Amino acid sequence: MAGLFVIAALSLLFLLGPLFWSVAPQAQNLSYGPNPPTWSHPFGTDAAGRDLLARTMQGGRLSLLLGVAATFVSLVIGVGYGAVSAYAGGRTDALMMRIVDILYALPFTLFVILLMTVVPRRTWVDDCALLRALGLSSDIFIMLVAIGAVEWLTMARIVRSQVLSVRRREYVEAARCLGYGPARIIARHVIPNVLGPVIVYATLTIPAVMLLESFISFLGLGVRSPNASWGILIRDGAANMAVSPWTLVIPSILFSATLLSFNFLGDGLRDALDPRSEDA
Amino acid sequence: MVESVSVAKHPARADAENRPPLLEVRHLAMHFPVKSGLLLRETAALKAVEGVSFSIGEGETLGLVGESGCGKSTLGKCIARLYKPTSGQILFSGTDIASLNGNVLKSFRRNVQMIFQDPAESLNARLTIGDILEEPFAIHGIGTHRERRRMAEELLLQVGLGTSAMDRFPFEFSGGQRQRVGIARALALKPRLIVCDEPVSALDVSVQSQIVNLLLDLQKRFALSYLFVAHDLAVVKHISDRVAIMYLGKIVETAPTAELFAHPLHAYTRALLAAIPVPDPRKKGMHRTLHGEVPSPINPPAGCAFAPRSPLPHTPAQAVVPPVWKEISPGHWLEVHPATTENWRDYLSGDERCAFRDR
Repeated sequence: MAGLFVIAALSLLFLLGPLFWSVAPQAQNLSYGPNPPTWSHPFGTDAAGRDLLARTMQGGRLSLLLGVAATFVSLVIGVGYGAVSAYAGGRTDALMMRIVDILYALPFTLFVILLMTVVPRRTWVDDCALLRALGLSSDIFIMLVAIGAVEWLTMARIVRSQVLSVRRREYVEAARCLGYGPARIIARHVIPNVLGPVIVYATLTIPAVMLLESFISFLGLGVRSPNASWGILIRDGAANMAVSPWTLVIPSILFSATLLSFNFLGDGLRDALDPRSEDA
Repeated sequence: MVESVSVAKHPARADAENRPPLLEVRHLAMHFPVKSGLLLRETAALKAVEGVSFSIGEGETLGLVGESGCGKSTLGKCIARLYKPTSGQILFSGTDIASLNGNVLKSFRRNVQMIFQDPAESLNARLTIGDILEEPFAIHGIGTHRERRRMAEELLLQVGLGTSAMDRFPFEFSGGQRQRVGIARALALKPRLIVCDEPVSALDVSVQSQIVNLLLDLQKRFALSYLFVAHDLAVVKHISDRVAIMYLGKIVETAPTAELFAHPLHAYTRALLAAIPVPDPRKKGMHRTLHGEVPSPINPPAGCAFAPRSPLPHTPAQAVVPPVWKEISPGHWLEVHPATTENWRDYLSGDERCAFRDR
């Protein structure tokens, strides 16, 4: 539960913070330079004199957005794919799962590097007013696609195993006996009964995605400056560690706190939803 | 030793034999492929049901008895078309339903419904009783939303539950009440045949009789036919007009209930009847137990599948040559080995021979 409070507090800070803290994250003040936290800049400033609080809020927003959006993408693809695969069974199931195995075998870093090289810097995403308003640009969008394309694989496997155990249950047979078609059985009887473990895994996927994002951005492959993500902030902080240690320490602490609380939340949900661990 | 033959329980059943059967199953086989290897090639077949024939009349109850794994549930599910049989015919009112597909199958499903063994398993725990009972109408596009709700309430009353159950969840009910909901769902589409797959074996003994009586009551009101799958012979004796004994995917003996319990002929039927516990402490140790294991349905013996376990004397030929299906006396069919058909009476005890003398 503590995890939930920390997530709620941090999300509020990142989402609503800009309303109260009106310093632009990209505004540079080169004559001011890197300075430790003061009252006018609570998190200090970086080498270009940019306000770290504003940049952390922007980065947090981006990381959370990516985490939730990529998890949602993986949830939709994974649940659909896994449920269909398991319900169809036989050859279809085997074929669909071998496709998953093959995708699993692709090295993720290579995949992202390829994507980043192949896709032009400026795409239709930058021209779409709606997506721009949501804070998306093509570099972020590619990250989203890349992470979503990888994360649904595990989700599909989890859903498949759950559906395999549910589809032989008698209430599914009873529904077939009444004349239900497969699509309706999956939607009404199978998926609601496998959602528990799926939600838990989704909660644990969010921090995994955020970590992936920061790792790719840290390598300089993901989100590009001047957009700030936590990976970028930590990379910049690491580069100037000797001069301005706060630029590394503050984003790292916030990042770790977010990841930890998501993991705690996932554990808590698992205990709450799993009847077997009820008395534990 | 010889019991008097009891009269039919329902007057409607007296002329049941004259009408064409509601359900006629001919040489039904259900083989499950055993797959192995990378490409899931079919390497063997599990013969769950192998060449089964029987019929059920209008308003009749056929009890189907056998031990675990003998294929009786599979047979029930074939008839409810949860499985598509490998071969054979299932004639329902004269129409073969064994190979139906798509919308034709969907409209057939109204005629045959199923009651499952464990009501905790057969009701989706995430839906309310109302949702569960309105579903059948929604699937078949019957009535408006309000009418469906009213029909669902009516179903609850028919099975002896109050309409207050509508908005509650299955876990709020006892096992017996949940089974009543399962029965209500089976009744929703006004079927003519209900396959009861061990409907009382997951319930307390005190509740079992209530459910059995409810089934008998509903049968009278709606002229239902039942295929009653069970392993509890006492329940089967109470509810069935005729009983079929199944062993390793085949029906080995079928007869009117009183006849079967009075004059069991097949060695397996005798062993089953002998295993019924007798509530008399002085009679302990009287029952005979079976030895050996059931042969594998993946590679069943060519001859009589029960011969290796039979307490009766059997010849090596019995284990190799397939037995024949023979009507020993009116309505009493038996799977019997060709060598024993002529002198099957030799295998009976003195009392039993007397009982069969005039047939």
